[in-house]
Amino acid sequence: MKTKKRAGTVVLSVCLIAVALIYVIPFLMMLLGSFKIQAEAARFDLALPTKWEFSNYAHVMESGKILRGYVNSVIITVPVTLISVLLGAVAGIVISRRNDRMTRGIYYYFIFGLTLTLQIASIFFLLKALNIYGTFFSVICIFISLRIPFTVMTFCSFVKGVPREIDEAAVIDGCNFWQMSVKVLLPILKPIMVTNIVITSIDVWNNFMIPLFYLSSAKKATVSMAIYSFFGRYNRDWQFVFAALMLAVLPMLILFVILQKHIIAGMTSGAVKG
Amino acid sequence: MRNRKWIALMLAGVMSLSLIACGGNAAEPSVEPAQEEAGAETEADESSAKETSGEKVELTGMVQQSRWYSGLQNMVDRLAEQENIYIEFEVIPDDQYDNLMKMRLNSHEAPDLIVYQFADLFAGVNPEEFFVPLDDEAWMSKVQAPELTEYNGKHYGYCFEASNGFQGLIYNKDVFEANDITELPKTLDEFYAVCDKLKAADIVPIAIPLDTWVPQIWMTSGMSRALGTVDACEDFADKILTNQAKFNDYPEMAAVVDEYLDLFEKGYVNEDFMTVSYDEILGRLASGEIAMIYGATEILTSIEESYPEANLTIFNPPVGYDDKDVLAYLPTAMGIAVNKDTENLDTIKKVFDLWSTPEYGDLYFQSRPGFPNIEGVNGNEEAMNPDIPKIYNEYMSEGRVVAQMNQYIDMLQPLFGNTLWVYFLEAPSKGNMDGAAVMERFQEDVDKFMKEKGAEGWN
Amino acid sequence: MKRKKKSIYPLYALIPALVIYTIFSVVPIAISLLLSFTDWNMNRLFTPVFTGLANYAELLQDPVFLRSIGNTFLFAFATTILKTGIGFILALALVKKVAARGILRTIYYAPCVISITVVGVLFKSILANRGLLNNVLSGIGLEGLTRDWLGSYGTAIGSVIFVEVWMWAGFNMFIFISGLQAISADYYESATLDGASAYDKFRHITLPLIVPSMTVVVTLSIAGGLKVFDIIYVITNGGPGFDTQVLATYTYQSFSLGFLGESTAGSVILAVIVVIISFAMNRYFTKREVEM
Repeated sequence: MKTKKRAGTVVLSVCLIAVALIYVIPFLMMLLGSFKIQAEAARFDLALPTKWEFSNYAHVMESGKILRGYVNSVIITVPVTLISVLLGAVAGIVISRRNDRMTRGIYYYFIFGLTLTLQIASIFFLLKALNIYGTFFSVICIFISLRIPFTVMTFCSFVKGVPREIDEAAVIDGCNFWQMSVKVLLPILKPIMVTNIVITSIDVWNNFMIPLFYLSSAKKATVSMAIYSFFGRYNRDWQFVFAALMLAVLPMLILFVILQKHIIAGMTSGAVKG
Repeated sequence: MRNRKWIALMLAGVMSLSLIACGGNAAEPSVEPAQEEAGAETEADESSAKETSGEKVELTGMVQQSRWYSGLQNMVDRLAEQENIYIEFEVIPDDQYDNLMKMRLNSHEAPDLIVYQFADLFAGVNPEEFFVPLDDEAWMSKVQAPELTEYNGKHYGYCFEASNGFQGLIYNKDVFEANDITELPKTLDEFYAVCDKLKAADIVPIAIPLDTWVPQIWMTSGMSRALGTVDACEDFADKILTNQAKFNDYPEMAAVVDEYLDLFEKGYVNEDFMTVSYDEILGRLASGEIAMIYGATEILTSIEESYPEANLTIFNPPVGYDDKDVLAYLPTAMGIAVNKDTENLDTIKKVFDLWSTPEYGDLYFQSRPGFPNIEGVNGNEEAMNPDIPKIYNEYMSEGRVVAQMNQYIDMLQPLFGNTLWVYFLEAPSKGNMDGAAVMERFQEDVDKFMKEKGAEGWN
Repeated sequence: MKRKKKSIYPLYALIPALVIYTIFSVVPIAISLLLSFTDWNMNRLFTPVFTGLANYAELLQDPVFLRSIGNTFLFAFATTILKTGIGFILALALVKKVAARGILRTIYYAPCVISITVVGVLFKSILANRGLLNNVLSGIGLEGLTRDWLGSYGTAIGSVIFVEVWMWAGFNMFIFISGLQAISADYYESATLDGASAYDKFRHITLPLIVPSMTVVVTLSIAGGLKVFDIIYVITNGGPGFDTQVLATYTYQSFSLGFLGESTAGSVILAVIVVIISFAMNRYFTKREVEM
């Protein structure tokens, strides 16, 4: 019985690893390509570079304004992530705890946002009317509004799984809503916060349409926009494209790997009590 | 768990490595030759530059990613070094560029400088409304092709080149020689014979990529060649654009498409034309796996830059619908228009003054030779493929030239990439349309587009 | 009753979220709705004229638009089934103690960390006629299977579906893993004592208790699938021809042409479809949560 089970596990592991190898191929191609010379990179294969061209990265950093792109991406990503997570948390607490007709209506009003597509021209129109076109502020607001439906949804379901008695005990101890939220609930909500932080920052970091359409300045270009200066029409230096892509992807990959174990914890209670 | 940390560490390692690499090589970029040259020119220049360059001035601009040439980058870099004038160009993906530009101009949110193809720019945007006329500038007297930027008698831009050259078939000379093709074909039958010969030798005669701007060159040059003269083209465009005639009122339009479709039927075209990228095609052309690709001189120059070892050149192919052997040229050039809303007009004028000197102007052509628009600027012609000026002068002197069709009907330009050019790939791939059907379908798009626009003749 | 009188959870705390969300998400779609009845256009950006249902009539007569509706549904349903199914299977496997579990989870999740631009570049080159895939296939003697993957409708739409699944199955896996981990081990133990088979346990414990996760996954997947834009845009750009055009890419194309009225009409139709279907799905699953 035991050996049979172990054999099963081994087979399963082998299958999973095989699938994982297929998953890794595109990453590997990009990574290897970023160290190749032009002719080799243009072949798009998994061969090792004959000569490791670390200078590709130097060139990309130098000419693509990647560093400034990082700064701008951070300027946008950090506030969006913090604010949308905080607003989502507060809304999640209030909506799921009150759970009356009104807040249920508000909940569905937020969820409606999940179904919307980006209204490029209408938003442009709106930003002009509000006179905030071309500012980081406007782009940050757009991103927050896009992320709020998801954060509200996940926080709502997570909070439902937290026993009400915890709140009540805090109130008896003399806490008001905000003290209770910060001191008592926030620590409990940490897992779902981490989940939302990761998902939000990845989404915002990678998005290039919104900054492209609404920032309107080279100085404010984000990393995802900066990589475009490497896609020429008449001659494309794939080694630089790959290096730029690597640089654009890395911060989020690192963030994810570091925070990964919290994500599962966050979704655990979140999804189940949905 | 330990594994995960290891991955994170490795990723962080790669990252910091690249940062270090960057710091180490920072002094290396391509500006270097420019600096040396500058030093050689005059010392007086430098000192005067220091006097005039007071405070740091920043200009803004927008440019398509495909036109973000190293030549332009070098000109921008030198301005920053010598004049303390910084131009921040926003590099925008080509397919989003038109929309963004129009949206920003219409709402007065556009940057100071707008890079575009002239005179195509005026098809989408009314220059009188948005751009600064530059007629009073000193360099205007040195401009070789003032018609590029002209609109109602005024000039609205600074063009780097006088022309993008002409269109034709770019071919690999070594491949032709290896297959005993010593004479260029003079008639359509000879051309087919050449293709058959190549095909028999397992070489793909003509390559077409999925990038729709390549196959359309057959048609944009073909349609003008079919009409034969500049007058005929202008008359045609005038009628089409005022709804006095339809495309299929001119059977030669469909004939051009049909002859292009024949290439596919005869098996002269690579089979993967629906998916192969332009980059890949260039690789195959350079390696001799394919023999020809339709292009233009500007494109030839760019390919030669990427594949210096390949022996490439260009010729005007014979076609069945043009017995006069006419050449389709490109009366277009990349240039910069100045936004009327700019607060830095004086600085911009100074920039153009500087750029029209050889010191700056030459930089543009250093790695891509061309035809300079400003007298006195060196187009680096000695580096240019000698066939280009030869063919150009031959046809020009005999007056056997027409502009490509896109020029005459440039009002429809927004439609090209989204509709017509897609049909040019769809038709051979599905075999569902002949030339007349393609033109008919495009006519419907034109009608809809012009109606939307509220154009004269459609309401 | 008491709580209703004076809740400690203040409604005003919802105001910031409501304000930002309303201004930047709801107002734009409202603007779109209004302007979809006009001849709004890039050249008349600030002077649209009312034209009634003209844009909608125009759209519904366009065969490419109708085809894009079909593609949208095909894409949405195919990817939802595959993303959910594969995500669930991966979760079942990786919730067990298998070798290198942590690394495997990371790898399966990683695709959705990278930006869509990157995904587009990579897969276009992999699926190209002389791309990695065909090279590998002919390398292992399967020449017969090589083809121009993005060159014809069937394999092109199949390819984008595959890439979408590649990107998001791992994300769904995470949701399922957390759902599975939350199921108390007690249920399984007592079932084992009762002599239940592995299948019985799966059918009567795992499945019913995973339905809430399923609701989240399916709702997100179907809404995402119907809204799909970027993956099509970067891999096929609606091609070959207009074969793989979906609603969002179609809308974007009319936007590119400057037909803003028509473009907004298209996005209104899309929004209506997404709302109806995802709410219907959500209701269906929420009901099952109760029943099971």
